Amino acid sequence: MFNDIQTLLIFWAMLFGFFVISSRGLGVVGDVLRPTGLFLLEKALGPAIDFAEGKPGSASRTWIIIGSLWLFLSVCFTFLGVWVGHDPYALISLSGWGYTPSSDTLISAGTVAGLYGFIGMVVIGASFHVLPLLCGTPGGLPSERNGTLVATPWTAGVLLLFIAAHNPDPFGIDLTAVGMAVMALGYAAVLVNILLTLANRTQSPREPGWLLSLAFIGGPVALIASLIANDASSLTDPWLVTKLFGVPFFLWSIAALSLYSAAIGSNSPLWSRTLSGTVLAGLVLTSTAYQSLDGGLFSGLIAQGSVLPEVSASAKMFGTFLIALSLAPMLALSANVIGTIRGSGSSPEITNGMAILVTSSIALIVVWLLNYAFRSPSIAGFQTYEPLLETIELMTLWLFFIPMAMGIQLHLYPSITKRSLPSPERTRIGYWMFVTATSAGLICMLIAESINLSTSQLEVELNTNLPDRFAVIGSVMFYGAVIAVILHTVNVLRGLFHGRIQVDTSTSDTRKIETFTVAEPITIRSVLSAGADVDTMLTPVSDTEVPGAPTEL
Amino acid sequence: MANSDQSIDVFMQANAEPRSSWLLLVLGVIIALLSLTIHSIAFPGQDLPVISDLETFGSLQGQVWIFILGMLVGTMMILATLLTEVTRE
Repeated sequence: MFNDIQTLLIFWAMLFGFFVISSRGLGVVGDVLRPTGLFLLEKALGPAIDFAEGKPGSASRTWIIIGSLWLFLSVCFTFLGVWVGHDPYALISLSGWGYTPSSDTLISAGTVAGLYGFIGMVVIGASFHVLPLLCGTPGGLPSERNGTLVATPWTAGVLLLFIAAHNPDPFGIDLTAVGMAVMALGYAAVLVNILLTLANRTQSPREPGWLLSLAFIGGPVALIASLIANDASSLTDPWLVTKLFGVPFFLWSIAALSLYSAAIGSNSPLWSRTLSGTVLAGLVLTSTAYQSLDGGLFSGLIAQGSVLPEVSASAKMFGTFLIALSLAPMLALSANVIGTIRGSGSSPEITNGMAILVTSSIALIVVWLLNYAFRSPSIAGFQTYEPLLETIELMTLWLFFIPMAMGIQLHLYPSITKRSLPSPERTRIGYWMFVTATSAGLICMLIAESINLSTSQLEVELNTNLPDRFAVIGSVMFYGAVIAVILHTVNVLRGLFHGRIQVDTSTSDTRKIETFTVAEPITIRSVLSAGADVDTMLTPVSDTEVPGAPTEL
Repeated sequence: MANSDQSIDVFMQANAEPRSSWLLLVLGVIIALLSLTIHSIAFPGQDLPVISDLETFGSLQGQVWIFILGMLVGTMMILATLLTEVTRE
């Protein structure tokens, strides 16, 4: 009853309806709704709104800074969860204080902090900054004060979910439901702010503005579609919350923001318009099926203890088909981000987040293949690879979602805070440590679990502790991510006070270059948008002075 | 008095970050670790004086606490950064 083809059709129809209405406007109704929305965001809150000052950019800054603190908490708990996975009594000393978490508990808590704390807050903060620019909304975000203020209920909601990951119902209260309700309250205000930004636009949203807008409206629309397609009792279904903050909110917004960051950060236009369109249409049409069949990353922590609802065979077949098709937008996103950054004519910079965007774009394809290969059998009813799914979910989070959000954060940081990061060296060390630690560490864990799975399937007794060794090595390597996140967080926090002040926001996104290497036929527009001016020296690659030198790109 | 104040401003605030200062810090850490190793060689099987008597450290079992110590240092770095930067004049 939870998800069916009918629900998906209603979902797409509603999204299309939203697109049409947004494009054409609501006329007089819109003129009434806009001031009403602004009233709800500011005056309706009464004196509470005065807690926030409302300086330009303050909302974005608040969200991305608090998000960094959640990232640190997330990586610490994930590391502990991974460690306790192979050493269950590692934290036995804490039992005297009444704290005896299992590996699953710690990983769930880390995932809550990473997903809703870090990624969610970075996505919302970045969207507050990016969407008004893409829409040409005069004055920026309609209500900076409300945008700043609602970071509080969201943070409180994440904190409640974080506690609920340890104990879902202390004192008989369903803490998960309370946490989600508090977050939904904050999300409603964020959504009104985003919709007002879209309504007040002076131009058609530049790509990827539509994808970003649909990402925010996608969750509530999916919820309404489920209510229409199913009976009213589904309101109490815990799986519904996986729709509110699920694939549209996280994946679509990350895709849109990474495209924006890649283009602006590398000072190069998006590599391919067709691929941009493929990302928009492909993600909307295919990726929605992810949570239809299996909550995946979003299910284990929200709907603890609940059982996956029965899905009809036809829905399974249709959903699996859509999941297979989703490779196309994933490839398009990955290629467009990498192509755009490489198109700037220079190596991706680490310090402004371009390098980590490239790395996570490559990881996206690997992670997709792993998910498809190992998750499809469980959707079809075979439980063979179930033990590997937890590590694959960790890989999805730590190899794609979190590094992508870090790249977006690094790129937008100067334009949002009006200050640069104080230590480029710390950013570089953090990048290398994070990428190495998460990829090598999680691969070691996957190897360990694969060996265990193989031996259990073959029902043979393994006379070696090889899987344990791999698990230990993997968790020790993953600790590098903890150090990297400490460097990242301290850098972000210090930047607020010690970062070089950016004189003009427009210049923070524009860098002048002295030489530009021309590797292929290119338009003057592309050269100018790369930061070149009349004094820039154009160098064809054939003019490389060193004989036999590699082609400079 | 005014000169004295100016001198304090000029000389008592370390602005430079020479590389040798990091070298000294690293040396300090290495020597500290060596001392611990020498203690276990010189007094095999004996606990560290004072530190082992503290209930918290004495009851902590397993290698994960080395890593947790690193996390605590990281937490303190973040908190210290927040506190010092916010309260800085």
